[in-house]
Amino acid sequence: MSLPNGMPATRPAKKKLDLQRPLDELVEMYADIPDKSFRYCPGCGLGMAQSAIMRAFHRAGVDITKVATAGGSGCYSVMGHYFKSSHIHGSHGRGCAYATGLKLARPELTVLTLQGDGDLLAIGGNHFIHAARRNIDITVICFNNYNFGDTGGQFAPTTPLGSKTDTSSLGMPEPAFDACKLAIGAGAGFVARSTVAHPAHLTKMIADAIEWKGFAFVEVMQHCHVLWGRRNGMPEAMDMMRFYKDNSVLHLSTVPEEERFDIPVYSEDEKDVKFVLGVLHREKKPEYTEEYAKLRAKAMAKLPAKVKS
Amino acid sequence: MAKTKRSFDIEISETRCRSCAVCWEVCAPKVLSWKPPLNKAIVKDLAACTGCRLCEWLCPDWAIVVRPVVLESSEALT
Ligand SMILES: Cc1ncc(C[n+]2csc(CCOP(=O)(O)OP(=O)(O)O)c2C)c(N)n1
Ligand code: SF4
Ligand code: SF4
Ligand code: SF4
Ligand SMILES: [Mg+2]
Repeated sequence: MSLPNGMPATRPAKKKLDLQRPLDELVEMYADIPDKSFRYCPGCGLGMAQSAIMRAFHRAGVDITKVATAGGSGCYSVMGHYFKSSHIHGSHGRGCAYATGLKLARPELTVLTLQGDGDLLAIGGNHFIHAARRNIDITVICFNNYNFGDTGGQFAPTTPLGSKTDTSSLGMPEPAFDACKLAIGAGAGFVARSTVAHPAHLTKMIADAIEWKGFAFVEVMQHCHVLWGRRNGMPEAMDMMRFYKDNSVLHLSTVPEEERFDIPVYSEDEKDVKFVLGVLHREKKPEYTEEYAKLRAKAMAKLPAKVKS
Repeated sequence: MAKTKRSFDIEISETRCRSCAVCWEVCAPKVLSWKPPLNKAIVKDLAACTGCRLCEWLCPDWAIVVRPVVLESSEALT
């Protein structure tokens, strides 16, 4: 039986989620990891984020052979090599440009970028805002560890005001970006934030972003206790996990829209940081590869028959 | 039929573990601990494990696997 508007009378069966699969089975399905430890420092949030991404692949039900990732330079940049997906390990900040090309050439692929905060928001800022504006169906994952980790802990566009880094030993003088606010402003259809200290929530945010048709952005608060933490009174991984837990708000509805974004302050005298977690923005709009396909069809229709064959 | 408590099996890879302390700090029932001198993670009180999987999800080096133990049917009925 079908309803007058052609909709089937029954909804499609809800996908059964298999969230309890042990890690070793997931590794077998999705990852390609070394026998020994990862290239990150001990306790680094990148290993935790990588684990959540693997579970998100499973939750979203992707075929890993149809996944391609792209990224640039930074501590995070080895991550793409630890999955069974294809990966472009390209130049610094160009993840969104590679992903745009990949998705246009092979729209059937699930395309993600794995990018650091410095990579995405400093040198790669231009690529990021224009990919968001086009609403191309890629998922951008930003690992925000408040600094340039790989080069020794210099400040990034995300470094909290007043906090100490290699290049701001007296305190960061510039206000930071709220990456999620920037993504929304640039036109992203799906924008979410989570932290590595909330692994189930983080997994869901990434899975939802992968499933979203259109440009999706997930900001992952990911600690670098070794460089940023040590310089700001949180030298252990657990110090930073507690910092995320203590300053996070998980119930979006309790926070008025204008208070969901934050310019963090973390100086010796003043500490004012808040992480509002969850899906901060959801807006359906025309998707770029589909619009581009329509344009291509129109152009082809105009070609003389001789050229078409 | 008597209710059986669910039990779990925890496997920790000594080669993968890098003693970051995250797993034993996040484990509320204190199932996990560490062994000097390298302070690699060990299982201290398996029976107390609730199977929450936080340790498995948060270990940055993917050194921990938590598996529900599948009881033999005769065992499950006692
Ligand atoms: C074109 C170019 N400029 C500068 C660098 C040096 N560089 C390497 S990694 C990096 C910053 C990485 O910071 P982020 O993206 O936040 O990643 P993290 O290391 O913190 O994970 C920079 C500036 C480079 N590799 N290429
Ligand atoms: S420097 Fe920081 S971000 Fe880089 S691997 Fe070490 S802890 Fe992780
Ligand atoms: S979380 Fe992992 S690496 Fe860290 S101490 Fe525990 S087992 Fe070792
Ligand atoms: S599964 Fe939960 S209760 Fe069991 S050892 Fe891990 S953290 Fe502790
Ligand atoms: Mg960084």
